[in-house]
Amino acid sequence: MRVGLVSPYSFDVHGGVQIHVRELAEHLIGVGHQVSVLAPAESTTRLPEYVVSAGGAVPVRYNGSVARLAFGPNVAARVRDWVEHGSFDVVHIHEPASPSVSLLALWAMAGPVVATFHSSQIKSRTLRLAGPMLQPGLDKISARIAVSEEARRTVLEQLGGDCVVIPNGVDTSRFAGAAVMRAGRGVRTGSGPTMLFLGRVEEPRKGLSVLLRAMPRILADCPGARLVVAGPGDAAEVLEDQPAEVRAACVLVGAVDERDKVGLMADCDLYIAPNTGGESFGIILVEALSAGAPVVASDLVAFEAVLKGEEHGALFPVGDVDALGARVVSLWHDPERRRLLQECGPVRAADFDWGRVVPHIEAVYDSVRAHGSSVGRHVPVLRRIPRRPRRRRPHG
Amino acid sequence: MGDVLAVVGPVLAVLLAVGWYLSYTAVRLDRLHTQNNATTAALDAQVVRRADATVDAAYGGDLDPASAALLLDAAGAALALTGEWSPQRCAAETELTEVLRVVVPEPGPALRGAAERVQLARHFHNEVVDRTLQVRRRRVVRVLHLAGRRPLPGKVVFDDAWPQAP
Repeated sequence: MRVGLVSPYSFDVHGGVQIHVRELAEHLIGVGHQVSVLAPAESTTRLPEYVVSAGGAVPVRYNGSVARLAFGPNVAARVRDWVEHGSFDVVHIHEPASPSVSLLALWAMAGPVVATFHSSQIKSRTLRLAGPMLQPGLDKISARIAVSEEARRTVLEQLGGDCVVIPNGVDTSRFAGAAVMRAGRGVRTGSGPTMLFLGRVEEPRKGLSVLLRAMPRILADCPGARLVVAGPGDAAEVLEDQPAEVRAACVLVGAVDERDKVGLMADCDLYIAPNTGGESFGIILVEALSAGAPVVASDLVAFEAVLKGEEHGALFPVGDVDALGARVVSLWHDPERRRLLQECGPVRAADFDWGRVVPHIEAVYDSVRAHGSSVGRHVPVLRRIPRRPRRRRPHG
Repeated sequence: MGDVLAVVGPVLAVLLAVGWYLSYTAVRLDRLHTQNNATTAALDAQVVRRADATVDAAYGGDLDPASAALLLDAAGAALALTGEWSPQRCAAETELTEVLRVVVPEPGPALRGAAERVQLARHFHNEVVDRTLQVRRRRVVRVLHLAGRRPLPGKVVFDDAWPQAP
């Protein structure tokens, strides 16, 4: 099958949607499909050979944060070109409502379209105002996928209509090594847990401050507790106004690459996800599970879904400092439970592995295709009206 | 002169806005109907695929002749009906599902995949029908016949909840 994938966000920077699109493309190629990805990217960015650049992206405020989007006549022309020359059987558009390449591609094409909604933050104000711009594109979508129940509910409330839920895929094989490393070591017996926090440290939604406020309580019970803080941002600044004992218990490792991440996850006793919102899918939790790290997470809908309630980890109410502290302490004093979580984690994580996810996505592709259907350029209604042959007057 | 403009200006603006809204809605309906045709065709392709997979399973050799005959009968009935989604055609698909449920407890990957695709295709088709009907039911669309002579689309309802409910 010839598949066209469209990412609205620039491949110059890292982001959840870009990673998803790239990995999906590679896995689809892996099972024998021909894939072309259209995404904004600077000409200087090195791209995999299956990616076609739609032009440079511009940082724009959109949906509450700064996103790198591409638009304008040049970009639109490149998008049309890609649609016309791709001869795709199906085009799969990510975040179709975002004012970037996705929207342009929807306008430019006709034929089987699948769309995936990643975000759980579609703003109704944007939709009301931009409706006439978005609706023509949204009407062309044959199949809608949401990456989580939360994203599905958002689409239902804001756009109307149902989605099929297919979770994001995760490469759990990368983390299998971590589980092996851990298995050799067994559960550590120290005077306190080694906890891991991963994420941009200054971003309030990642919830580092919640965890830091819980630290005094955790330290009072387990004096040997340590907190490893990994992720981009100036962690020292965040720690500045913390009590001395909390600062002493924190280890700052800064930004880490994928390999380091696996090592850190293998090396911790508890993975803490104190996020306060903005997560529509808990990829990071799936990674922690597949690395065999016991998870303590806030009870966001997305996290609850990954952990299946508290079956595969511990949950605490979002932002509840005392509850977080209590969960950490009680899990630390229950090595049996931790051992069980370590063993079951990788099994649960396998549900989100690309190996399981790709067949579902292939099924969706097939289900919107009829015999001989393919993607082509959109022809406006007025140009579709067949021209009536001019009636000749019969010669007298 | 100024007075005339003050009256004509807003009236013209309103007329333009109404005209734009009407043409926008008509074009949208056209788009939705195109979409309806596409999802109907996709659903047709998937039910044929499921019936074909059923025939393959019947001749696969893992089944006793009586079970195979039941499968072939149901698949044949489903394949014989094409075109519009009449109650008879929906009933034939439901029957095929029921026979599969009784005869094939553990389907192979081909049949399982085909059944899953029927569920998805029907779900997506009914979604589009829903969206189209929402627009078609608007008073302005009915009164001004913005949909032209296109027939009202209908949902396709049959039992496809096998091997798992969607």
